[in-house]
Amino acid sequence: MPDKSIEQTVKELMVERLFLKIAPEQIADDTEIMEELGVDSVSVFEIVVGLEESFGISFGDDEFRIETFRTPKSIADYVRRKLEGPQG
Amino acid sequence: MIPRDEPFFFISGGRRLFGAWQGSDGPARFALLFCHPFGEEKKSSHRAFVETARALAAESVASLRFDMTGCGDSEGDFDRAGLPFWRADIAAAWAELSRRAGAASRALLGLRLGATLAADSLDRLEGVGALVLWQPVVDGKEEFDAELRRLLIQEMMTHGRSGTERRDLMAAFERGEHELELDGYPITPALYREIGGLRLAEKRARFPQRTGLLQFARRAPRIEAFAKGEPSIDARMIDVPLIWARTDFIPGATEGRRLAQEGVLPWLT
Repeated sequence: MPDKSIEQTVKELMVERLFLKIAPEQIADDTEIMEELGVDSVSVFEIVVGLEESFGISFGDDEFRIETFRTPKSIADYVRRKLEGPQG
Repeated sequence: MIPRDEPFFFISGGRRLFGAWQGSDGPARFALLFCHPFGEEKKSSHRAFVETARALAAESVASLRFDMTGCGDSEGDFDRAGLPFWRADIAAAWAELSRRAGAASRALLGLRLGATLAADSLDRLEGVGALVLWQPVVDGKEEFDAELRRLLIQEMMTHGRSGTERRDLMAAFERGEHELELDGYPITPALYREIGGLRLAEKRARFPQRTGLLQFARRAPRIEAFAKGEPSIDARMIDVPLIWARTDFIPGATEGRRLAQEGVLPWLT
């Protein structure tokens, strides 16, 4: 899957699952989602479930790091690492 | 004579429970009992229940909302309550609804764990004409696991990363070495076992002919799989934010009307 589509998918699932009143295209790759979109722990949970369903990956309990959920790009980077990693 | 709208207390097992009766505009054709979810979900969904009840009143549907033992304005402590108490509470509330309903047909609605408990109570309730399940908890153990995951995410939000793993957390909890709180609500080992043992599918034999399932707009594979496996359940989706999870969303009259029109009335009439 091309990198671009991972970022785009992340933004789309954020808009859908968090009921954001903006279009995915209005979210930049480097948008600080907690500060700028008001993402909280409930929202992060929704994003995690959405990522697992969309990409078939699984977050380990020891993989919850705040850096991962800082921007759409940081989330996409995590997804890429999981998809490329030995455990996919 | 029962006032049209009335906050009141009634008794369940010697405990005073708070109830809010919402009479209908004109004679009631239906009377509906709301079963709330628990913890923060109860607080978050409160306004949605109120607005739905008001919207239903205009459609000749009276309703009763109530607080179960250890919740809201009712007596009891949350950490000493549990499923046996809450089952008894639903039965007592149903009796109160029936007393007030007159000739109206009676129905039962629950949200999240409240939906699962409503289904679980069917064999103790007489005359349930319809059952409405809003985003029910399908599997108690999996739900509990998801709650633990939320705990880890909260830990991450506070400390930058999660420092525990669910299996370690649960092992310590089951050994009695670690107390567990979800959003400040203490979870006892007994409550964990009770909720963990709930399986909605095991209740389906008791479902009334008119049983509806409302999924709020998001993917919910477990709910979808449950509905797919039971063709007699009419499952629908509503495009309203997660009323039990979002503290930044305050439902108003518009959402109340939508929840009533799309999430209740299809299964009453």
